[in-house]
Amino acid sequence: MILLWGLPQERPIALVHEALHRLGFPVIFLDQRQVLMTEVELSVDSMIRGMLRTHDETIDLNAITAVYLRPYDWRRLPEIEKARSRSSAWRHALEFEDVLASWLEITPALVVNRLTAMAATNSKPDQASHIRACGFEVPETLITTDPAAAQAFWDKYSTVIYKSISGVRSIVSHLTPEHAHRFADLVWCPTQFQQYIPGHDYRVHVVGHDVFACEITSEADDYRYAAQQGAYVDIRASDLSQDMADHCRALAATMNLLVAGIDLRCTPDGQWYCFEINPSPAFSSYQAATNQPIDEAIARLLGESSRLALRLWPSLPTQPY
Amino acid sequence: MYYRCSSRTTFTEPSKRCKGYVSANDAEERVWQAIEQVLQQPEIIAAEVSRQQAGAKEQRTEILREISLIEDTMAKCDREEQRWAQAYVAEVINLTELKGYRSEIATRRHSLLAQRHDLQTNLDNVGHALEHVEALMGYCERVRQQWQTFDPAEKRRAFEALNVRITWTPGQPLTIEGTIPLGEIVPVPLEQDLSHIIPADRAYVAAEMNAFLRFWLRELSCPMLNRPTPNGFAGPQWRHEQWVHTAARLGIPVLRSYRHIASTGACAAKAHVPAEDVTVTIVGGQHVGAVDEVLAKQVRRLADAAGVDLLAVRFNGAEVGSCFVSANPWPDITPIAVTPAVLDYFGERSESG
Repeated sequence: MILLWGLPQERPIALVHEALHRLGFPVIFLDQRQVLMTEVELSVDSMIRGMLRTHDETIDLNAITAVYLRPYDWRRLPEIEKARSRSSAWRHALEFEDVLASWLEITPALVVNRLTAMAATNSKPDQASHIRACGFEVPETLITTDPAAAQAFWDKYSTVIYKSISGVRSIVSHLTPEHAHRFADLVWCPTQFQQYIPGHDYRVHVVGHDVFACEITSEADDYRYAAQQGAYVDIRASDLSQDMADHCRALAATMNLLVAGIDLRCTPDGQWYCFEINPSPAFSSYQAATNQPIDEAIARLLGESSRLALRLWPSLPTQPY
Repeated sequence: MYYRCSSRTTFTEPSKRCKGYVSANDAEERVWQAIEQVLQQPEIIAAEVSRQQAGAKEQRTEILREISLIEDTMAKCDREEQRWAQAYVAEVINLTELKGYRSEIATRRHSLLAQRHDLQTNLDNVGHALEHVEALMGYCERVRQQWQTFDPAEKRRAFEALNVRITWTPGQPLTIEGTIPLGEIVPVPLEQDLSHIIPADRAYVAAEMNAFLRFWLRELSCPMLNRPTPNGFAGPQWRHEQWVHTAARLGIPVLRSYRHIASTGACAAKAHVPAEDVTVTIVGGQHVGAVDEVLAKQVRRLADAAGVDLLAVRFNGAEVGSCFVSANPWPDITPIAVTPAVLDYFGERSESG
């Protein structure tokens, strides 16, 4: 049995759901919006036992061989937002998510992706260490609260971008003269600046051993926000060299990610830079543009989970560090 | 501005409506003063915690007795359910009757679980309060320092964080109650700590500081207790079940962990509680104080599995065969025996480095 956990209308998880049905794998969808009508029971010693009960089903946790999760912030669920903080509904959602998160960390089922593995990507400088270790180039980076240091970095590299350090999504933007008067604010928050790297953008989705690459052409600083910036974006399927595909696989594996979205840029002189790795990629827009069967690859990975779970997760939980 | 008695809106019968009111400025000023007084003298809270601890043993015994009674009743539920199942197999009752009995037993079981959860919570509170007195003093000091700069909106948020509840009865003094969030003291910068940042930016700044600090701490080559992990600043922030499972798989006897979150929202439960417990603290492979060597070895193995040099583990007894209860990779290091061990750890590693 494969468990999906998230919001049914969310496109990536809906695509995986449909693909699992098409391929004939047994699947159950745990709708996060139904959290107030869902029970969970977890009993742990050397064995892990438990049950999930929705309004119409009871699921033995030991019958679950694989999980695909794209949970939404439960505090933002409409049912919880309208409930008072620390109300019984709020506490139920908190405790339910906590128990499920606990199970996800220790279950021998294959989990795409474990929450601890996802948490490891929450620090971009941390990610950069892994990225560099896997043989990719990483742009020169400065993280600072010192306006003078930021100015010196800008003077040195002329074209500089800034973006968040954490996993909080930010729009990658060029530093412009209009930003100069805001440098004084740097003292309040460490900020990440990077040397601008010219070249072609690539988005690579790693799914187990499968690698799907696409090339992105856009005028926007951050192509994900091209529409908001009035810029065009063109996404096309692309082929990576065997060597580069292996680098991507190695990076995902190093970070214990079974599915990952990797952002690369190839410079005019053929150097490959890696900017970041996304542990829960919203692959649907890339799939829509390229027809790459990413959903089916994820479905197959989940379906073949019994074998993989044993191979990828040894007998004791280990720290990725 | 005034606060009016809520009876004006809650009672339709005019004779039951109170006509009392209190000046908002006056009431709020008295509340601020009361809280400032406590924050400036955290020993008041510490003394209160100590006073409550004096009766802790009696409280524990009583709670354990009640838990034992509940577990007996739950065992009876199990046996009763089994008997009805046998009766169904023997065709003494039909399927509809079986479902009816099971449903009735399930209702009783849920009620028992809820009671056991409440008792467990009480027991945890009794057991942990004293351990956190030092942390409590530090917390009060931090809040007190920031308190002076709080605007009214920030003070109200602090009220919410301290769960401050004020009861006003016309003609009576204000009753002010509050709780210090001991269980939420964590070794990471939280947005609540960033009172110097505008509220709209606090969550973002906290996330950025955490991301940077985690990286910076991990990159340091100096000795560290404990190194950050992806989900924790001081070693892994494993949930209780992960500690229990890891300990059990290492061959350490454990008390089974059990949680049940029912759809009613009110029911959650943990099973098994220790009657008497002992904490074994490991610092850099060495245990602190006189403890059984077998327990110490078990803690070392657990610390290795978790990748930490500092770990405090509670067992339900001091003798060999005692069961693992819980683990904490961020224990209080101020107890008299632990501090020298921590200093030795840094001293030895600095010399060897």
